[in-house]
Amino acid sequence: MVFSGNIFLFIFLPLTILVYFNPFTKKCKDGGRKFKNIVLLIASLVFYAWGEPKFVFIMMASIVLNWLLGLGLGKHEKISVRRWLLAAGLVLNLGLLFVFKYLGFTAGIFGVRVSIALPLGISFYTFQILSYVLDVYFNKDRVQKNLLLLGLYISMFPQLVAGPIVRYKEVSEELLNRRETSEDITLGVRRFVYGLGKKVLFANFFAVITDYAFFSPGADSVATAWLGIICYSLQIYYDFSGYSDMAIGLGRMFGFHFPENFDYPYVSMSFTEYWRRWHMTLGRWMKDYLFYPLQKSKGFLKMGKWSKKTFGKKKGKYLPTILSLLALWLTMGFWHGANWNFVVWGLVFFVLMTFENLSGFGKKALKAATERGFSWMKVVYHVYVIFFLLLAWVLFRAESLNVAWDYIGNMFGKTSQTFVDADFWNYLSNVKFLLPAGILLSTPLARWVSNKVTKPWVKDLARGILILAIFVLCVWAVIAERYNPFIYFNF
Amino acid sequence: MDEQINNRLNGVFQEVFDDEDLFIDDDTNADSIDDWDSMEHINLVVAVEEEFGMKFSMDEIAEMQNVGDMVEIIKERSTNLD
Repeated sequence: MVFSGNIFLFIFLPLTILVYFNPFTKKCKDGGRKFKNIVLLIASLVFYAWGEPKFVFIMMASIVLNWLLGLGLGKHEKISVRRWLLAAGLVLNLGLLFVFKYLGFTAGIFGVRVSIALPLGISFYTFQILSYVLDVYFNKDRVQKNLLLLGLYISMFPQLVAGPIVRYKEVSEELLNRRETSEDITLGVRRFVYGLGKKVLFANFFAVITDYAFFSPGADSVATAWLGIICYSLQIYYDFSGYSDMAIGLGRMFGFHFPENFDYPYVSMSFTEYWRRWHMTLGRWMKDYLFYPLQKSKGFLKMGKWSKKTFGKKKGKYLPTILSLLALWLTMGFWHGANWNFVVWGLVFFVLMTFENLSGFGKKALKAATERGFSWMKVVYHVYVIFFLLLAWVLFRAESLNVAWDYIGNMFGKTSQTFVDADFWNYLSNVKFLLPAGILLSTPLARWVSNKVTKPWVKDLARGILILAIFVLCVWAVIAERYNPFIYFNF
Repeated sequence: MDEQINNRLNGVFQEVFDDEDLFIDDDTNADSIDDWDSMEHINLVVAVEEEFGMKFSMDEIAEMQNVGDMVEIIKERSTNLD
């Protein structure tokens, strides 16, 4: 079931809201909190089972096992026991992820064909489960004794299949103590509609051009190849940030405050900045549960000391920096998919981030980004980011490395016969309004305009009309059943 | 007590960020010190651990967003030891 589909919009969501907010809950002693949580949990399991009737049982089994592990971690003080429990948790969760996501790929390296279907959203919910296990490992007071509440944290339908990746300690309070105010509901609905618009009115249309350009790489003209990858960059931004908006909005309707996931990434002037603005919850997850623990580990600290002794104070930092970035970006690459092009995609960012870190370029660009006014350096920084980002997106979109090389070759005129052909003009005329609109709205322009309007009634009226217009257009497009895939479901 | 912690912390910050003119207060955070990023965070934490003779949990390390948070956690730890 997808957020922008008929069944979700016109049956599932209204029904869930009706049962969740039914007036009888007011008579309950706890204000209906328990009832509401059960409704949300059942709705979430139905939501998941709709697309994955078999795999829903794997998720449920995983929830129960991790609940038991958490109980153990909450009970035992002894470090050796805790370590064993943590190890069991890592083996269980990463093991499941490995079997479903990486076994086929690994077997392929050894020439064996294994084909296993990927359960919806397994990369996302595995990371949420790991967040719980690690949070309880770091601080045993966080243990969740209530199976229902833990199940709700892991399976909650707004963020189950594509994030934002919520850390357990962030929502543990709200699972029991939250209020659904009318303001929450208004803000939630508004956010949901914005997200729906991003997906249905932008991403889906850009997708058409992207698909054409990637249909026969090697036969495109240079201009078509560039247009195609620009459209893909916009498609994936509107697709994924739209999905996040919808998730955050839905969460808000039910009283949850999920963390933000996107902050206008395409205005970045360095990749250091970009990765603080794109898929922010994944970056945070990696920082808290991989990057810091790795750097703080005994072996790593020892290596750091050795490096400082051998290469001096300043240069001694290079080795730990390079190694920790390599671990991070290999993980990032593999997380996105079991395929060589994702590994290379991760390595591209490893090289860029290492360069920015060691040369001090990243810090200079970060500083420039905070300065007001125009400067040519800012243009240079921005062109640098967009250029490498477009190349990296080719790796991300292509089905294989060969296709990616062909496509990149095409962008630089290696295989193509012509610079511009009739196809290009045809595709361009299809997005002649959408392309500039998509580029402008990927910057904080709308926020700037909204801040310029000072009269509250004008703001409210304009907003009301806009929301209504977006919603009507989306409904029209959804009913017309246009092309409607969510990219991030595949991760 | 706070001031004493602050002075010792200040020494650690000057050492880690290699800047003798660096002076910190409770609000000092990653935005106010250019070199304080996720790369340098663990180096800083380890230096603080050595100075105060304590070990922080990963939980606490992630929570140390500014000097004020750091002082709070150090204070909490010191009273627990007594």
